[in-house]
Amino acid sequence: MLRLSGVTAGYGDAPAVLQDVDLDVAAGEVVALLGPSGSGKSTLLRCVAGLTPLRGGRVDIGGADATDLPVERRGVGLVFQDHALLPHRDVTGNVGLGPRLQGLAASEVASRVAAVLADVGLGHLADRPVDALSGGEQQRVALARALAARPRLLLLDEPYGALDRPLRERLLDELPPLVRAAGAAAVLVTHDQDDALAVADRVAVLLAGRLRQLADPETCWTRPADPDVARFLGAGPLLPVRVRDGVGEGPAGRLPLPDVPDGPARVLLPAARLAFDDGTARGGDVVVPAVLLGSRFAGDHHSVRVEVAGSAHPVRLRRPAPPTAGPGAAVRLRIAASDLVAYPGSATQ
Amino acid sequence: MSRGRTALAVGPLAFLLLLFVVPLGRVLTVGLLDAEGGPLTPLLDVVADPRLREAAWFTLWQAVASTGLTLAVGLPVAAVLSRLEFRGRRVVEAAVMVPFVLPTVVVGAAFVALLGALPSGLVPQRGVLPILLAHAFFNVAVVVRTVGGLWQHLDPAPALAARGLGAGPLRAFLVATLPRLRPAVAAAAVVVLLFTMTSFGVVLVLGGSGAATLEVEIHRATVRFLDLGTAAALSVVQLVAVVATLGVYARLRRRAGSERLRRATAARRRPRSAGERTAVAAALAVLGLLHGAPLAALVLRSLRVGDGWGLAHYRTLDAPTRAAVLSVAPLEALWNSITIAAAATAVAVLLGLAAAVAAASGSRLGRFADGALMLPLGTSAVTLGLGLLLTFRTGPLAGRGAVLLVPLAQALIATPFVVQTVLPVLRDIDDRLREAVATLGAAPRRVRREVDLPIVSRATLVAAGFAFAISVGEFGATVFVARATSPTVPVAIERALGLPGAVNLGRALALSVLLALLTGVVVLLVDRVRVGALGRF
Amino acid sequence: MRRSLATIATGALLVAGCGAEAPRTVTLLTHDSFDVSEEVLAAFEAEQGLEVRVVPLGDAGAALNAVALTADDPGGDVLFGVDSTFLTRALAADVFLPHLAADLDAVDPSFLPPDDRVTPVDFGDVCVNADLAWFADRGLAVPRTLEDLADPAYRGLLVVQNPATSSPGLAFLLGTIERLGEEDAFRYWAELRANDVLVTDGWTDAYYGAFTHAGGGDRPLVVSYASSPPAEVLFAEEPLDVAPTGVLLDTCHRQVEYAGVLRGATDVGAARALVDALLSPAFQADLPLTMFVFPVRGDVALPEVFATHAVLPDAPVAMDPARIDAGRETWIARFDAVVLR
Repeated sequence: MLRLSGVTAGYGDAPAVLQDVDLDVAAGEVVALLGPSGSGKSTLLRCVAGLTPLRGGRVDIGGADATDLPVERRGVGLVFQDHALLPHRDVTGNVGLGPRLQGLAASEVASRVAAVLADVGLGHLADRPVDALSGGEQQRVALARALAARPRLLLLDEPYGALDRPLRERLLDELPPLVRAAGAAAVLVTHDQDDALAVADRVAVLLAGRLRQLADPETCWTRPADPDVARFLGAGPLLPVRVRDGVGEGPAGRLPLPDVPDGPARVLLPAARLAFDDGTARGGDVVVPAVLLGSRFAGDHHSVRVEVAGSAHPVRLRRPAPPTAGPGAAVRLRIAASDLVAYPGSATQ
Repeated sequence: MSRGRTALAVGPLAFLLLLFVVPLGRVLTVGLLDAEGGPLTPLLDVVADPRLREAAWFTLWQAVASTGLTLAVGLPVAAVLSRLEFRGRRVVEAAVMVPFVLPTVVVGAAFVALLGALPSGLVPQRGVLPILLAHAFFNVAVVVRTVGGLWQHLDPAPALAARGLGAGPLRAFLVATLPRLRPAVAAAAVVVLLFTMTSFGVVLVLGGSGAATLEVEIHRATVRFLDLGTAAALSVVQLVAVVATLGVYARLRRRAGSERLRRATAARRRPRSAGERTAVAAALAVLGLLHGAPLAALVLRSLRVGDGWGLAHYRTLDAPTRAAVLSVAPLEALWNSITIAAAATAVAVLLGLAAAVAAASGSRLGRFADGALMLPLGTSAVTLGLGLLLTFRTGPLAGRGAVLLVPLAQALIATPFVVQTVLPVLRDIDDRLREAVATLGAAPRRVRREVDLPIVSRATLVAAGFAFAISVGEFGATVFVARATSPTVPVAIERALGLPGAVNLGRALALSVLLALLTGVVVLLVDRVRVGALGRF
Repeated sequence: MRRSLATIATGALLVAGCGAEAPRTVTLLTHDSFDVSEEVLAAFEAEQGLEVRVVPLGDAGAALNAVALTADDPGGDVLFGVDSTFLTRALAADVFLPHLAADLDAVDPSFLPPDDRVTPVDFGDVCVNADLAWFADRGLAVPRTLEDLADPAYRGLLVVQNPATSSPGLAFLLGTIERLGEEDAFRYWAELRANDVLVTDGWTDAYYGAFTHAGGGDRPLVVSYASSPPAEVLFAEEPLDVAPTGVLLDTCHRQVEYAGVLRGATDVGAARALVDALLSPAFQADLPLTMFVFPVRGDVALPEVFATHAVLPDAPVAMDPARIDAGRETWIARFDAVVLR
């Protein structure tokens, strides 16, 4: 439904914010665009919507070249973090705006509005003025407004960032079914990894204006495309090693890295694949030493902070029961050798 | 999306060119180029003359003092009227406009009578203080309408947050509200400054002997001495002062940041605390004193018949007048005033909206238009009037066509008011609103219709009421434009006061009161308009 | 408007009588205080087959200004409203054509201008007016001469207008200079200042703002016109037998008002006819009640209210227009220095 090819964009005479970005999103799919502040996520959305012109590349929507198409003809729905609802119209007035602009008859507009409001669970608020709604209700109206226009593409720019966690999670859960039912493709911009994990079919990692990885969430977190992505995602401890003959020597001991050329390298131990070695290690597993930093109860499990030797970044692991040792104690972690991810070259390259 | 909006500035600028730049240029050319000793001589003479230097200095400081006083009175009143709801609020809002429409001669007489009734020595009947008071009397309306137009839509949340953090009401206002109001306050201050710098009637009547501003000197030079060289040179000095003022304004006008604008009725509430109720009472008291007292004096005087009271003067308005060529049938004059003002308002609102949209888009041409449109406010009415006369006495706007010239000349003064009232609201509209609506399928013009126009609709109505009152009051150069074909009420009042006789005085007073009443009613009606999206925000 | 009905009627008459012929238009440029009765004008239009368009251009100075600046194409045929104070200036600006009006011999010789480019039409006297009731109530004698006004017995009772901004104010100043001589006049003004004279900027403010009779002010002596007492009677709320205000005849200064055919007139013949008409008995008799001035024709009867209540000085004082033009600016500056600073 959406394809970006080599998109480069920026503002005014400033250096380009987006560099040569390729991205595709299928109908019914939700892609989370993840990146730190300033990475160009919002710019990318604006380019897709037609609000920011491209310096290079092209945008295809629905299979046709939309690069030179004006905003109002792209069939794109936009939801901002601060709803951007028309303050002088009530809920029905706002939601019905899209259908009205499309020239539908009043009765059709009314029925579509009613249907969409029902979908987002706000049928009872149809006649309320916008400023009488809570934050969550306002964002839902914003979403309803975008959906009522039957867009081919739904763009959401940190839509629930201002809301509290439980509300945010609930709204995120509601999103994918709505998108699929509408047959649209959706791109959700966020800097919050939990949001991305909650809602995305695939995650696009945007760092410093370049798209580094576009894959399903598990792949991103267990096989990040490069060390920067790994670090941004907090995928796990990243250890510097020196490889000789397929074995990496480093502060955590010897790690089997059969296909890695000799020389310096960095090795990621994806946290998703790390577990405590309670004597359960099997053949093909690697065991690494770590230091237990602390533990806290997290509702339905214990969240234990450990730091792998040689890694500067601690990682959290789950345990059903609290650890037996206290902070500062040495522990051992195990991971399957096949789960190790190696990046040849040193950190400075 | 910005190019279309920039082009909107062309209309107002063309209007300004035709009705202001060309006539002004004519007068300055004739006055300076034909002067003996060359064009610079009158300018040097003016600068060297100590009396004229004194007049320039007086012009400046009384204008600054008047502006300060007007803001000091007007801002609290604007606060009360735009944030608090109380019975009679709408009437008070409309009544604030009434002083604008009264001829200065009538106002001057009312002030003199009122001040004369005070214990002697408290406030002199003539002098600088009466001038400042009269200026405040007229111009509070500017502050209330311009600043109030934005204030009524401001989200109260930031101020409340400041209060929650422990700031007192004044501190909260200074820290959280005033910065967001700054564009509107700056606009109001500049307008009042320009108005008071070119103030003529008030200074003449209330200034006492010897008080002279540049405007009075220009009038003197033009009309008494037929010394166009001096008049032109003084007009140039005025222009320099105006341009400098507008330069300062351009600095103050910088946007404080985009706002979440609220519906006016949502932003208003009934006074809750004793402090707020006191504030309402205090504002009403000040208005009652400043506006109410002179107006009451006027009404009382108009009801005085011989040694008793009665409506005799009002009844004579309906009686047949002498069948003389230029005598003005009062009711006809009333009708003329209203229709001409309506035409001028329509022109001013159209041009003003166009200029405001262009200025809000941030384009350089738009911002230039915003400043340039204020030039007529600070230009000598005498000079401009003469220029209009010279430019338009032949051609399509001469003779019978002068009927068109009067509303156009009035629109010259009214248009910048529209711009200054609408622009702060327009500028505060979040761009993302427009972007969201665009993605829903609206082309740029439709975006404006769906987003900008409804949100500024109420501010526009506020501005329209204002423009109407200004036109009825015939500020500026229209005083000097030929009006043979359709005499208006200020003309009728002037003619009545040009002859001795109690009947004439009574008639002038009755007409003034009627005009004030009628204007108040029209402004009230305009303020209440609810048609479609207009006025609902 | 009533005027257009008269015009339509005139036009219909013409068409019916003479066959299809559009009426010629003659344009009268004047000041805001001009007026003439509709029937008088209509009679003129019918008689001449003309349509008269009256265009007020502001006050007298503004009107002259506008015409002087556009002398080649003033947009009008006749200018009415040049008075003695501006006469020399107007003649120097060369805006008029010579014209000897038809009824000039009916005019009192004292009104005849030095130049045949202008025609006298009316005159008025600027004099100090007194509120008779105020003086009667206090048993004070009404002052009679200029010198009386400087007497401490009448301290703080007089209001005059600033000659720089007011036409009657200037006329009164000229009157004092003409009667006393320049040096003595300004000595006199210094005495008036010491006697607490109030100076306002305009006639309206003085009459309706400071004069006791009309405005409820506190000064029973005001510089106004000899036609003001009859106006007070005419425009009184209840019928009066005696004029409530009186005129100090020894303080008066006479001004004559002139009209002329404009050099840039489009229809000179019609212009001449109009100027002649201004001197006709009909117009002259109409003047007092429309403009509150006096006709220059000696053989025209004044209206009842004027005949009964208007008093004119036997030996009128009027400064020569050339002398006015030569000294005006100096004298106004001197007034400023002596009285206002």
